[in-house]
Amino acid sequence: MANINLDIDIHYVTRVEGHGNIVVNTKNGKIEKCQWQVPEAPRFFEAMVVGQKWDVVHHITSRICGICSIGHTLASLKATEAAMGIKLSERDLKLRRLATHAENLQSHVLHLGYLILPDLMGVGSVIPLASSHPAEVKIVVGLHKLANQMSDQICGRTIHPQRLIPGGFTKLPSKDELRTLKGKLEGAWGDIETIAKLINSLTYKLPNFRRETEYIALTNKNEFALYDGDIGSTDTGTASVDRYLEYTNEYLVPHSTAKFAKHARNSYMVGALARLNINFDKLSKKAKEVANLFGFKPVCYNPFMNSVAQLIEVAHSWEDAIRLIDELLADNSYDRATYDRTIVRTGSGVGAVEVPRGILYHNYTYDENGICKSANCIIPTNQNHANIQADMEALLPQIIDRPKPEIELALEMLVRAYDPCMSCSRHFLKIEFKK
Amino acid sequence: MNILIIGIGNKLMGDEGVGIHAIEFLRRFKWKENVKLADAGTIGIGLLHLFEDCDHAIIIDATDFGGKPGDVKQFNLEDIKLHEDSAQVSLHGTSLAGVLKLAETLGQKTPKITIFAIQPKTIQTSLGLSDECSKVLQKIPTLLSSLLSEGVVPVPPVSR
Repeated sequence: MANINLDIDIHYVTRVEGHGNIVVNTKNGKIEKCQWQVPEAPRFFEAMVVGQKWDVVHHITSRICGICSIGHTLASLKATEAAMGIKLSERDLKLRRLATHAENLQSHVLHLGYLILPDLMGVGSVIPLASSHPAEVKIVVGLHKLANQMSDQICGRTIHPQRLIPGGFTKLPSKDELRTLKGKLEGAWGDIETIAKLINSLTYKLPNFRRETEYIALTNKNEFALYDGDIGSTDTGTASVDRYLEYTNEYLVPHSTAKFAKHARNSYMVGALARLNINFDKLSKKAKEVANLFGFKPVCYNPFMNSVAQLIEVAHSWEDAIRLIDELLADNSYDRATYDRTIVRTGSGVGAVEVPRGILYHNYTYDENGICKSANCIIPTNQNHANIQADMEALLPQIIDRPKPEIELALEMLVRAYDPCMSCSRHFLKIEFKK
Repeated sequence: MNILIIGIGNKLMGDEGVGIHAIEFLRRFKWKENVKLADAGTIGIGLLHLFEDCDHAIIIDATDFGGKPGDVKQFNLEDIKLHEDSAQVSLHGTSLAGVLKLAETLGQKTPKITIFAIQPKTIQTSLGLSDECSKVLQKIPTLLSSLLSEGVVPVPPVSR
């Protein structure tokens, strides 16, 4: 029986970061409204770095987001380094890649364990899950803790890195610390495998939905691109990151304060699924094993599979982190400092990195004193909004005959699959005193 | 008795970041070995791991308790009711209630929790604090030392 008149107003979608609404109206079986609304107030972070010195800008941008703080730091540092012509040593490039893996692990484990598993197991949040499946939730908590420790060792903080500076690091993890970290990572594979098998046993709950779209991610002929690469697209060729504006084309829509983006079509997707669709052959061995377990093959046009793509990336980041640590341990010149003095100069630079939710761009222009004169920051979630909207418009007619709670759940699961992050860093406690 | 003083908040949002400014200010003092300082930023669910490693957590945070800007209140967790919004387990949000509920459900040890609440004046994009919240920073070491000596650990912060 079709829902001849249907009103859905999910205000706000839970288990996503920040505020987003799903609004659907149908009248006499006809869809009158189907919208993904993002009502977050704009934060003007770019304006905050204008007027700041080149060596503090990354500390400010690291505060934009509590989850992608490493990514915002790295994109920021890379933009500054591009503007000033600063080169890094091989050692420091490896350490930065380790930092990227730490963040990917932190974020993906959280998204899968705390935000997606409840949907797959039919409960409202991780709290009831902790009662019904304490062993699995403890594994998630343990993996997250390990990823936090990894970040702490490489970046000097669990979040909001302190050791990362233009040109390198203020302090390196000792080889002993790297050895300990490697041991802990090696001990965690069984846990990753357990979570992979659990999610695999539940993937039948992911809607079998398909919509062709464009995927955009960094791509690099030498590696699975997370820290560095050119812009790649499933629709067009690759381009240098300096041409990011041609790939983002931000625009405004009446129902959201966040910007939307498009490239070759009306929308595109960034994130783990986009990365796998573009760079699948560069994944590590274990990651490909996990992909095989799920029967994942590129190009996959089901956005709900973004969560599976994240899981595959967990295996990749785990394995590649161990490889990098092995290389650093074998480096006899590891402890020797290799910093060149930065010569401050005027210039403009773009820094792009793959953060857990997709490609992140920072672009700064500096004057001759190293003062930032202009800044632009394009976050992955804004690049995904138009694609979420287009998916919602395609999915709704396919499920319109179902009971309202099922439709609501499917639309919410769609949004959650993108792992959107709209709040970018605001919380604050609200309390009342007990009477 | 391991004591962890945790600053929470976002320095880019004006007074919302007063907890972080407080931790940065407190780093100027010398602390005994059993007292650690943590700039937790917008760590969210990661609080779970911070709680695991301490016996007493003192959380400094911008908190709307209906006071005047810059008012400070300290209270123990059992004295208050956390707003329902704080109960959602999310990644960004502090979700203190959610973190505690999760720890309890998993049988994880939770520390004694004291909240050191500072009433914000303005929460909007800004790197600085309001005058009211800025003045509070100077008072924090004294307020904390009395808190720490309250039958817990007598550790008056000593200026370098």
